[in-house]
Amino acid sequence: MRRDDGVSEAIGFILIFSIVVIGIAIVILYGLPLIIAGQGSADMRNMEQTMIVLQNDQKSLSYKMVPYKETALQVSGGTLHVTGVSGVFTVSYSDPDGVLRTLPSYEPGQIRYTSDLDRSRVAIENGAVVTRPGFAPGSAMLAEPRWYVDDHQTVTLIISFISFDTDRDRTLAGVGRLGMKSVSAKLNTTEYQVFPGTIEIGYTPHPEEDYSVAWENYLIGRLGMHSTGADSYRHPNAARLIVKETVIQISGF
Amino acid sequence: MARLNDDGQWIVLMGFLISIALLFLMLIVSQATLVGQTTAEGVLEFPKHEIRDLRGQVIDSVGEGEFTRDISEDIRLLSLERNHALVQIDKEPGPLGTVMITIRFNNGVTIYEETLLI
Repeated sequence: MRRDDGVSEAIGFILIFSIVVIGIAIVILYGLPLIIAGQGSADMRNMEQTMIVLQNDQKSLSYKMVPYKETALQVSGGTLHVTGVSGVFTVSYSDPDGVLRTLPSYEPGQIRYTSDLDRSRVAIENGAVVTRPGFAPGSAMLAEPRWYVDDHQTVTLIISFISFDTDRDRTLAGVGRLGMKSVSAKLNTTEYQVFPGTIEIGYTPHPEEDYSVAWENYLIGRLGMHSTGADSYRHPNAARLIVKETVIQISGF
Repeated sequence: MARLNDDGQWIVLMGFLISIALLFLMLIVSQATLVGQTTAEGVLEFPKHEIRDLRGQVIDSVGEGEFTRDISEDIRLLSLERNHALVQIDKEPGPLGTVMITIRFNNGVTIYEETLLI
């Protein structure tokens, strides 16, 4: 015969119940912050995708003669902001006669998402999707702009500036629409003959929205430019420069 | 008294299995959008119609004997303005009275080069 006089269902129940309660307490104490951080990074990744969609819309407007694009989007865990404030690009070159010419500088503006959780950002600046952490230096480019070098006969550097025209700063949180219209009167493509190796591109970051590391990596790594001092880059042998300017008007929300 | 009732153990076991299954499903769902976006982007980027238009236009005007320096320059400017693409068309006399045309198209993503005998 089994001796189970010491076994009580009540005690067993209390034991298991307290193990469950302690388990829940540990999850709330240590797991919940992880879950919130996971939600934050999911929101961030979601917005990265949305930004790439918006970048594709911009490419259609700028390079494919599409007049208008509209995207419905959901912004969660942060705010989306459209502003005319961003880093400033300057282009200078010397023509074959040796005259140094500097083009008017471009401040393209940004569509910027700022996460509520840790203030990290993902933004579209000048046709590129860039991101940076909230309170740390550094930045990265998630999707590149359509700049390129063609070295068929004369080495040609083709760069394009995509600026935003917003009559006011706009902010969106939640579900909304973002309409983009290309301002055809301001669409402009200009060619410049250049003394080889004199094209200089400068990027002056906005103090609070510094994406200089991302642009540096792009200009040096992808376009083969050389750094010539702080935030200034020179192409080693381009003999022709083509600058395309597009202005996109933002509407909706 | 004092008899343990363990008929309900399968409920605990099922709960455990379902939670593991949910975890795996979550991982799959979180990866899905990423893949879809990149593929769609790649298809959109390819300039099929631009290259077809360009080829068609060049072959037509060479066939009608109208292909001049001016037309070549017009095509180049239009491609640059509208498609953000560098186009270069070279014309050379080919064998037996034909014309050899080399078309080169580069829009920064796709580089296309073709030599035609017309």
